[in-house]
Amino acid sequence: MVTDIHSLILRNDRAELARMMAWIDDMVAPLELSPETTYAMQLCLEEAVVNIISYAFSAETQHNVRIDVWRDCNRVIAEITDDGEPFDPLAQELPGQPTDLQSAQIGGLGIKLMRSFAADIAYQRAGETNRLTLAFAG
Amino acid sequence: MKMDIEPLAQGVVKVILDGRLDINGAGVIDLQFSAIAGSHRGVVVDMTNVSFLASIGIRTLLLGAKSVQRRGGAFVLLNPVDDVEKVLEVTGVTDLMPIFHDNDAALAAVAA
Repeated sequence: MVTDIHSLILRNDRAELARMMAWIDDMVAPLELSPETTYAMQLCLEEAVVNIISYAFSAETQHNVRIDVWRDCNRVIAEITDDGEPFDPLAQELPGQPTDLQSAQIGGLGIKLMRSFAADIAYQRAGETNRLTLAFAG
Repeated sequence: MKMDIEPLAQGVVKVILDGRLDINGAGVIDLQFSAIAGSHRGVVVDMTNVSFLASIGIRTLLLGAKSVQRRGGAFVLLNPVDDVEKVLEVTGVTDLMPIFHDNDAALAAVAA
């Protein structure tokens, strides 16, 4: 069963993240999201959108980030599209597992989290847009 | 995100967090959290009521932990919920700082 698509458009502004979280909460019932899937979606979308806002746009210009979510049988798909600079979050070099506190890096943790909490991730550059597709089980 | 401070002993403190440690939550507590970490040698971060943790929140915790450890102190996490603990495991934070599910054990770890 494929549901209707739920869509949200965010400005490239960190203040918009709260609105995104509330939008996901509102989809729990219509998409029958389990608590685990809800947490995974909120975490992965927070990480992805914060990355896009931080890296894909040059400062001071207003851009939009669009998120489309739908259920396809036993998977929930989230597609994030933005018109920023080409930015493939999956191609960024990952830090290794940190061995001690003082040398632990903070960058790259978002990608690790997305890889772990999403069942599948794919990136595509399509024309002038970045498209990041996340799939969640459940 | 709310932050409460409970002094435990000279230079030792419990920081009680309540809410979501996402980009907005981290923004609310960053400055005060960093000041507390910078001025104590023993810090227990009570995560019981932290319902959500993203990498930006891990940044806040890591910076605090580094600051305390650099000065020879102890920085520990107490009682993260399952989803939050999974985030700490995936990012390797569980290998960088002690995580306790028992209040007495956490207090003992920072009292030394």
